[in-house]
Amino acid sequence: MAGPAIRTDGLTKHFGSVVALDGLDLTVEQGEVFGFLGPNGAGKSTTIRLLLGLLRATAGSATVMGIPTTDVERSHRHLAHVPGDVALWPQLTGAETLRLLGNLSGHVDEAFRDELVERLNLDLSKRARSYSKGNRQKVALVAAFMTRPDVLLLDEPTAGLDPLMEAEFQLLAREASARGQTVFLSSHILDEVEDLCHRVAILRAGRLVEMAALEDLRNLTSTELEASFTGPLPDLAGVPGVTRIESADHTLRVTVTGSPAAVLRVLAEAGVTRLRSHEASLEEIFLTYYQDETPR
Amino acid sequence: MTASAASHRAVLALSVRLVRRGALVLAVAGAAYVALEVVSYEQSYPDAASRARLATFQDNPGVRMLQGLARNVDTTGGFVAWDGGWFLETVAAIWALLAVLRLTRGDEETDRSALVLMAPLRASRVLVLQLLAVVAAGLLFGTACSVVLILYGVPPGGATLFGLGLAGFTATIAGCAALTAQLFDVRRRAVGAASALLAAAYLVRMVGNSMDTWSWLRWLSPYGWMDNLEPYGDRGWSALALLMLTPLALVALCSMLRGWRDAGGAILASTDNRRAHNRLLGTPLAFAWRCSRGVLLAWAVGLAAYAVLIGSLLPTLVDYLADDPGLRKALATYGIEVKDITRGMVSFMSTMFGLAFALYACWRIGAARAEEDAGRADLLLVRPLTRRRWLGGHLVLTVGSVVLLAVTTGLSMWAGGRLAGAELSVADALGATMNTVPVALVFTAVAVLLLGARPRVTVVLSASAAGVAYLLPVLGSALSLPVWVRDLSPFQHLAAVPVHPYALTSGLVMLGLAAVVAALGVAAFTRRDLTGP
Repeated sequence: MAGPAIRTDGLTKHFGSVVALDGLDLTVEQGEVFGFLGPNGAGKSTTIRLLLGLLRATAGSATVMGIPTTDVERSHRHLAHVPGDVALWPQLTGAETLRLLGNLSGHVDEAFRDELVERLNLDLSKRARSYSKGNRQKVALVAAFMTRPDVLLLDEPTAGLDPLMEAEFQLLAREASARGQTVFLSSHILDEVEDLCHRVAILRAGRLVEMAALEDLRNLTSTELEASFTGPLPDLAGVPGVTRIESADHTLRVTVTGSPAAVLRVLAEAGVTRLRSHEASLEEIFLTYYQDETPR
Repeated sequence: MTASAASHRAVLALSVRLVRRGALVLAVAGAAYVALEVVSYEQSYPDAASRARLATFQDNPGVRMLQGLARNVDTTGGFVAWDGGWFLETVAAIWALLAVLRLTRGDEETDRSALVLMAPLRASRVLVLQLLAVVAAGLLFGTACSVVLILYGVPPGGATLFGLGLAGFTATIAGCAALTAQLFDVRRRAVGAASALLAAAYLVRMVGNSMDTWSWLRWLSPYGWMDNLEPYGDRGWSALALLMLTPLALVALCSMLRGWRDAGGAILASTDNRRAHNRLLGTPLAFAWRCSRGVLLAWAVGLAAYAVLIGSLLPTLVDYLADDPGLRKALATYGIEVKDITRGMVSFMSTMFGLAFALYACWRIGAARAEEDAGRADLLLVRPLTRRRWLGGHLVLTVGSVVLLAVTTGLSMWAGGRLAGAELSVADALGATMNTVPVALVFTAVAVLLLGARPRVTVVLSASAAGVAYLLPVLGSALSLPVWVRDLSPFQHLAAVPVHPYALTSGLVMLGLAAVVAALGVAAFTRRDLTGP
């Protein structure tokens, strides 16, 4: 099927006087791993619940694989969901829960289900009431992946998983994407987003403040150079690209935006003895979006 | 020292906060009910002669078994204690039972208790403070009932004793609930066990009141203690001591047991490992049945047991009722003559069963709401399943369950009557209970409408509406309310089956109304936001 996996047009949600989501325009292509970031209460879960048809949009619309999200009987055939806080039936065992959810989905790759249980190291013979948060999360992950859906809507799916399981989840998400499945990942774990996602959207107070490929975000950023000298420090004022200079004893700290070629030439001529470069991590970039008071 | 005092106060304040609304509603409802009892007594038994005749109920085993000992019923206070006492006791006990298990086992199940246990207090102390809040609510309830009685001129000493008894009864059941919270690790199971204890207390009193040789059994049941309290007669101080000391002993026992177990654990913890049972997981309807059949069975067994008892008491009741002008008048408001008194009683009792069916239905629709509230419905509804089909499944099950309850109750009443030699046919008994099904379905529809439009009050409002509607015809004649007010109650439109033929038109109107209201509710539900966690 051609066309985007997810598309929203001016998707808006008000809860009384609170604007939870304000005119979201978003397109996620098939096979993409799409990161969805933002502080608590930014509207990430609201967006996912709107895409699932659990909430009714105040304005705007959305489609999943070309099907309006209000037509849940059709759209849900393409969807799977992992909620941030998984509530299970306390009296059912893990196996019974998966059986029930599989029956409702209608199509389960049973071999893959068993593989998932094995890889996530989940004990299915226990009643759900004895599961820890991480184990409930695993049940939801198995239930979501086992139907091999076209689109996976994952709302902070690794909260509560240990690092080994988190790594396993990343592998699963990558495999899914390689098979052409779309992964829509809401997350606070920036490393996870950085490792997995092709593109990210950053949401704040219900508004989209940035949507870009990870590569582009990196290019937006500046490089910090730290150069040590035995002799006198060179004067970098006026060198193209330099936005900030800091000096101490025998060390210069320079922030460069764009190509560092000109700065490097000057540093080389001045007899630099040691050079360290540091590219702002995505984490630092994200944090600027989180912290800014007003959207850019 | 001060830090500990502050923690005590904080835990107590939290517990009070969590029960205060329910406690207030309970106290106000209790006061209103007592007022109603006083008014209807003074209207139905205006003179000494009619009141003296009431005293003969003392000798009727049937009446003694169902309502307790009719002592001092020639006084207003004595009548209220006898006619309304068991009802006041039961309602307050059920509230206290649910409140205790919500505060204790419920919060442990969801691990909310961990936040409270962070306080520098022993877990057993936290339990005592929580129970204190519920006991205080019972005291408020008893006080409210006493105050109303005193305002109506009942002797203050007796009224106070009666109120104290109610408070002690409520506290005793609260203590029993706290005990089941220590024994069982799942709230549902603890609620079941505590309800069974309450039912057992009622049954023990019933047996104790059936024959003089068994009257010692009354000392084993809190209901029996209330019978022995005699607030307007001999004043049973030992009964009062039992009502006051048993809660204390239970609190001490629970506090000790709490010290022995882990948070979230239980004395009789169940295992968490078991083989998968894959039946009834195939469709939403099957799964909803799997989740609800246990509670339905409990209702069916409880109602059936009560119906068998009622049926078996019919012959004795009928003998005495024939002589009582007050109850004859009550039957007359339903258009029942003395010669039809057996079937009249069946019709009268079936209306009460109709209320039980309606309450079950409200609870059952509330169970769907609870699934939504916990976020478990989300797990189903993110799959190719429409909300209409999901809620429709719950609705179908509710309707089926109500019919099932009506059939088992009717058959049980007939069986009980047959055992005791009452003149009652299967058709009459079944007709009487089935007659009330449309009323229960009206309240099912009200619950569905609330689930669609005001989900937070699904059970509270629909169940209250059913309770008020049940009382309205009774209230209506006692308070001479205008006809149109009485006509608001679906119960008012029931024919007295089996004495009178089934009122087909009003039955059809009720069913049509139920269908329309339920359809509106389903439509509202499909249009609103789901309120997940």
